[in-house]
Amino acid sequence: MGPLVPQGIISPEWDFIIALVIGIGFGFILEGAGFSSSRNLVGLFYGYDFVVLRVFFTGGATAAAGILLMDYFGWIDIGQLYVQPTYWGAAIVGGLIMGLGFVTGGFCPGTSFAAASIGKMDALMFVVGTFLGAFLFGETYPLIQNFVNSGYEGGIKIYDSLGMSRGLFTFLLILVAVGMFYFVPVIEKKVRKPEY
Amino acid sequence: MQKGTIFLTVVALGIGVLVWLLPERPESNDIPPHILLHDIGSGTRFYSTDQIASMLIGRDPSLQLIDVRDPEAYDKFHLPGAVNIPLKNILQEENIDMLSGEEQQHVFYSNGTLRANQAWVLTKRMGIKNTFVMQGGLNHWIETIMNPPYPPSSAPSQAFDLYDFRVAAGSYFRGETAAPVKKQKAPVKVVPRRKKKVTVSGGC
Repeated sequence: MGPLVPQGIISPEWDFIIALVIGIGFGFILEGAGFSSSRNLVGLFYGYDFVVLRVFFTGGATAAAGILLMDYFGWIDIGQLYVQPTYWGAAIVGGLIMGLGFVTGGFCPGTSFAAASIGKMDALMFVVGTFLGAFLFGETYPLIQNFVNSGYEGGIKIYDSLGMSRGLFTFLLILVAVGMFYFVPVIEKKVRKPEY
Repeated sequence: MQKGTIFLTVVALGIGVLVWLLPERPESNDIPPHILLHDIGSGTRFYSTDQIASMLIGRDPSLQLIDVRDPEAYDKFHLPGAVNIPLKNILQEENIDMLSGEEQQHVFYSNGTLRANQAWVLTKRMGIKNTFVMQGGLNHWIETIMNPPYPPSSAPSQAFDLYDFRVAAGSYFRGETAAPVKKQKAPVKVVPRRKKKVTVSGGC
């Protein structure tokens, strides 16, 4: 039966309302999980706190296994899910800029909103910067247009590129995630959390 | 190690093995038959000949007409701005690429509606969104735009407005420079008015 929106089971108008509700829930949980603290977030880079890695690996593995199971039960049609197309040039440069901003500023775009909502000034500056960056991108788009669209691969999927079945890939993802959950506490114990 | 941790590990790995061993259903981008049936029945794919004429005269940049007849028929006559993609070539890669562009509305037409509808169903099956059909095809175009029937005298005034539009559009597409001027039914008689004689009323 699913996905619900592309099949017209949920109308596009409701789509936005549902997105709003899910967004509020996501922000609430991000804040509750401590993602509004830039010290928790950048701990990943310095090695004293791997909560980001745990959360995102858990999220990825759960979603991947859930979608595969739902596809098997016929609840969702994987072929109809939207896959964000890959642009190599923009993905690599954008990833570098994002990583640099993350480790220096201490937030990613989503967590900066979560932190701004509890009144953190640095996060508020981050939000201003997000809009400023989007505005600059829009204004300079004609200059960087060729680069932004370079390396277009379409909606490729990692298991196709690796030449394995999606089930095997998901199994390996879960295996890596579980292995990581056992391994990262060892690092966390070795690295002393700096006192601020 | 805590019992809960071991339990979660076993569950996660169990699910992992399960999704690995489950048979895959083949992925397909095809539109499901019941949705296709709904789209066929809803008739939202149609553009009327009047709408097409109006868009062509207004040089609407979002309109891309596609002639799905043979190249010979296309060379003989085609609507302005139309490109020729014969139905048998519609699955060629460059044609799919062109039809997949979402900036324009691709409107198929043929002599009737049959081949245009077939082209529309084919593109729908491939998940292409912006494709439409000119209702009635070129035959209807000739009937309505080129030789519009004069509405009966009891018709509502909109029918006469539409007729006027069609006559004007027809002359536009025939390449005439000015719209035909309607003959006036009776020449207006010019009745010369005589100046009234002004009688002198009083005075010194």
